[in-house]
Amino acid sequence: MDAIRIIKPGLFTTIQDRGREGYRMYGVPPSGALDRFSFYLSNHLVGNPLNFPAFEITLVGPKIEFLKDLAFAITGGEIEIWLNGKAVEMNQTIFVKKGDFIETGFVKKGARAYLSISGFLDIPIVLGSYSTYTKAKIGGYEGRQLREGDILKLKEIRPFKEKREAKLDYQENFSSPYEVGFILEKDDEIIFSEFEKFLNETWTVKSESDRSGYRLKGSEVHPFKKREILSEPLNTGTIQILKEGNPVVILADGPTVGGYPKIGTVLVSDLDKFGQMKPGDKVIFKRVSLEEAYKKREEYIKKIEKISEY
Amino acid sequence: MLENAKYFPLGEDGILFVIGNEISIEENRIIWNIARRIKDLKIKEIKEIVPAYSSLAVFYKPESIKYEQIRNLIENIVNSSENLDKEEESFRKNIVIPVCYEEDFALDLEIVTEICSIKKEEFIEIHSSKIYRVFMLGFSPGFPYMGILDERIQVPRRETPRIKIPPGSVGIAEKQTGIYPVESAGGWRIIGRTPLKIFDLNRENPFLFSPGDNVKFKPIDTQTYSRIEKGEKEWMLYES
Repeated sequence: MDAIRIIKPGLFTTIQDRGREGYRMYGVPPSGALDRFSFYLSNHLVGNPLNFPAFEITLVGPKIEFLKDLAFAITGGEIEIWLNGKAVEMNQTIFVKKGDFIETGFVKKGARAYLSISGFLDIPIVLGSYSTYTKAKIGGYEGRQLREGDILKLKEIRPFKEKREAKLDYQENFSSPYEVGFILEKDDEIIFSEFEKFLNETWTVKSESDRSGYRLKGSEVHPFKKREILSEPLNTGTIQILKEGNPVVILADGPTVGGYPKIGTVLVSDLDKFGQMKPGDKVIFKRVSLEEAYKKREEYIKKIEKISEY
Repeated sequence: MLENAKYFPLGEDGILFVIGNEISIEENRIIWNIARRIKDLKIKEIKEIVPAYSSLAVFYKPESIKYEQIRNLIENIVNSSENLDKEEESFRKNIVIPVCYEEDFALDLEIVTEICSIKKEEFIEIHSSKIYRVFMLGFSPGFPYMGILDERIQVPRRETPRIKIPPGSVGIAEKQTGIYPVESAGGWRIIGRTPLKIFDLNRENPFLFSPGDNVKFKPIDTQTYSRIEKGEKEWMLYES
């Protein structure tokens, strides 16, 4: 049944879930919400299982008309919401009636927000996930960002009457400079002095950054003798050094293999930060051991499990 | 070449296994054989295996298995397996891809023939007479990195990438040849186009190619191209 109508789509709004697994060897990246924690939280606040497909909002939010009585919630980067012209808060369940509409503004703190509605969106599953991979035009809503006039249907409405609120401080961390932990890869070939330079640099997020990867600018670093390598597999969060000596951090829609030297891969628990970084934001990298990384991963998983308590 | 095998963490849920840094059919065969043997073990803690030219990534669940265990597993397979460099003939098929090398599709062929100082007919003969190996898939869904291209037609990438390459476009770059499955930007030189869908979600197996496949190109004219594209002519994908 028809559930919502897009009056204004916002800058770049796509449907995402936690992504698809198992297709890297075919050249299909995982895609999925860049800020996982915020995405899971938005689903919880409307009584959905955490991995239901939701809307990822980028920098400028949408204006939406509700075609059914529903519940919705918005989490993530700080964004203003007006329901029928009246301001309402993020991070809580909001009940709407057929004919209600919401308008949202700029993401003022952070870069991306997540909007969930109570129910399962009626869109086809593609390679095991509902996430949009715009580059290949697959997944989500017709494989693309939402446009004015789009009507999204629900397979079923989940009648959710409970009011949930997340009084959290997670949004406090959405500010520059961002410290990001990573695991070193080829420790046997690395030129130590250049590696130190990479660690000491405060990198700046370039405007050419997007869901495929975040490009950073700063001093030129060349941590390896060769500036190109025979293409090898990449992971989400892999930090490549491009020919001109600046890094790019591969993200959810990024390439699965690559021919630029790699320094290492960002911790899964720090990947969410890239979902909230904006051009001009600063990033500092910190090397982390595998043991520490496993610990941080455990903590991150516990943090997500705690979502069900709100 | 396995004496030089190295292992590195690829983040907290991946391990990278590297045996070389030059395009080599032999090394790729070893990689693919190791990948299959890992797959055959059906270990539930392993999420996926990604083969590349001379390297392999294994993605695992850190909740149930750790880096050292995966590393030991791969080392055991490497040390205890025989014939890692042998091809398993039984499941290898030659995939035949129809390619139209005519002007409308072969966007960079003129410049390529200039760079190589050969005639167009020569180029087509050389490109379509070899059986290529699919070394790996990547860049976009189902994009096959194939090789090794005859020396006479190896050319560098374009200075600036083309912004929109039509799907089905066949490209070359140095030792490699590939086919763009979806419209995208790209830096390879386009020398023809196939009417076949390299990536098709409506097909049971959406991906036409898998790593390790053998591929041959067959020249077709624009009429045949059109008939295949419209579904008026069926194409025999496999060489009998």
